[in-house]
Amino acid sequence: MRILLVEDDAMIGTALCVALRDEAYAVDWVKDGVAAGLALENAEHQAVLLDLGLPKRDGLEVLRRLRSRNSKVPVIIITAREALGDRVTGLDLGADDYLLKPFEVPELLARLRAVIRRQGGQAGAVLTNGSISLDPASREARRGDSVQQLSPREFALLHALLLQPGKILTRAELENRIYGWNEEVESNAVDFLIHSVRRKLGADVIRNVRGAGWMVEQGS
Amino acid sequence: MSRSLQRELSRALGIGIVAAGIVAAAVSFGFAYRQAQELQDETLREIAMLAAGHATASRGAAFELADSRPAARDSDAKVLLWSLSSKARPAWLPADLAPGFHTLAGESERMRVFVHAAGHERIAVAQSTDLRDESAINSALLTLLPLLVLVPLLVALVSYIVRREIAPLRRLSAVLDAQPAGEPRPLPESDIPEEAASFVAAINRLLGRVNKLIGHQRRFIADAAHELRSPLTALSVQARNLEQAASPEKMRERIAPLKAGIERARHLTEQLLDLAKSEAGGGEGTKSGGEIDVALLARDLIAQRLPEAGQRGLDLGLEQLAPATLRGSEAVLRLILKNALENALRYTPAGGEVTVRIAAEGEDVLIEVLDTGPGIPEAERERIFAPFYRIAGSEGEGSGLGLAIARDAAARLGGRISLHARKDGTGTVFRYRQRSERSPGA
Repeated sequence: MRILLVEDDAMIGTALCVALRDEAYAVDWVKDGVAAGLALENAEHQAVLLDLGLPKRDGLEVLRRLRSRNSKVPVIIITAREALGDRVTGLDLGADDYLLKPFEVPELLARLRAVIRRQGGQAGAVLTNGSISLDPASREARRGDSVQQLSPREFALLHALLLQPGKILTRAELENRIYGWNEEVESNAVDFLIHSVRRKLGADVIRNVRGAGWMVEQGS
Repeated sequence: MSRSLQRELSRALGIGIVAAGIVAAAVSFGFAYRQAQELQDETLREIAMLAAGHATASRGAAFELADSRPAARDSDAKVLLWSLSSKARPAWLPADLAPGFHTLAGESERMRVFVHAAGHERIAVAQSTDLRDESAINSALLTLLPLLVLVPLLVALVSYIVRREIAPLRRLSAVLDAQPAGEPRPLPESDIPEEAASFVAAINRLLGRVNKLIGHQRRFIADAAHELRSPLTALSVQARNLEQAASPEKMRERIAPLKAGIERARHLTEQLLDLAKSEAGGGEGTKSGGEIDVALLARDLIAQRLPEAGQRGLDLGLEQLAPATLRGSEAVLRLILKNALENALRYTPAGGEVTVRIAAEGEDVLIEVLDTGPGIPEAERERIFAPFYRIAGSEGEGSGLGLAIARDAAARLGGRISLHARKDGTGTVFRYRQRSERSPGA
């Protein structure tokens, strides 16, 4: 799960990166509106945390441009701007949520999970394809009676697959969702993660489609 | 008790009117009394003349006056008439009384007597002084009547007029009382007496200034509240990160940013307090304080900041081109230079140089802080003094208050702050200029 963090305050940005990585998110962090615009063009992120008071280009303008390109990536505005007008404008411009600084990290994470979940078309908190279910809040995967605690990276992999059951994801796509820009990805890292998930939940959890990539079965 | 214009005016005018009334009454009474007595004397004289005429016209009849009884007796006015040569005249009336008016002691009361010489006959007309006085007083008292009616009327009228004229002032104070303290509106200037109009205009000018100040303060508080959110957000996330740390190593790693976050919040709070102090200080005490040895102060500040400069890899030094002494509060000058130095240290990249330079120009002392930072674009050099203003995209977590504090403080010392581009390369020159303190002998 890859998040774009747009925040000009270095201290808040650094701390949020740590907090989000703790929760198994891959985080890319940009510090101004123009850089945010560029990063969003590649559409590699599953959610955006957007500060409004940004240098070079205001956060609301970043949002407006994003939505005018018809991008559906969930956006949570995190800002110190309290005025009702800003909140309404932000939501009207297509933000999915609005969080006022200072916020509590658990609340930010819960809202993040919620917008990502809705984006995947699932209303419930727990992702499932019928046979496997994954709880993003606790990072627990359940298959039948067996409940397994996943590592952040394992969780990110399974989460990416479970968001769109039946869809084949390539190695590059998986790497993209699991790792941020600055993270060194070893060539067999994805294989290693798939192996460990299979070891915990059973070999048939993730199907390998030769030459195409990996998928989880769409539940019946 | 406070002075009431209405009460005092009413009282002063009332006392004045009553006093004037009393004086007028006394004078009027006196005149009327004397006039009444003169009138009575005149009557006595006329009676005497008439009696004498009567006597000479019918000789013999005059002698009939010299009866054992008074010759004639006016029952009301009690005018007594005698011939002085008659034996009937009472004992208290001397026979050789000179012609004219006399006041003599009678049998039981004092008598006013007029003696008229008609040929060899002398006629005395007498009247009791008590009676005369009583009637004179009565007629004099009558003249007081209009005054007695007028004085209370005047007092009432004056108090009514004073009340009416004061009424606009009362209304003004009611309007003032009804003003919300947070945003007082100007007072109505119509229907105000001329004398109060300038006063009202002055109040309105004051209200204008108060409103401006309140607006300024309100914006500042809003900005301050807004600015407090950032360090709080950082702290809240950092604390949570520390809590979530999976291992002791991770925990140690996460303590440093939390400390930095606390330091940032502390710095912002300190800056806010400095600004509050400097604004609360306002105009007072601007020139107070003794002589400041600028070089000594600069060395002290540099020594304090040396560890920070070392941490950031900056070369911090002093360049003294001229001896400098300033008059004023050392604490205020320290505040100015501390903020300048903090800014320079914060925004100069590692390997750079920060210099405090003390120079003289004419009668002015210049204290400059030169850095080798990125410089400040010309368009920003004025705006950057506004509280919480930070140049977009600048690194570092300044509060955006330092320069606002410095400018306030400079105004208190009677000095001036300006920012300039370095001529010898990139960087900023912060310049504080103040008229130097010359010892009287020099």
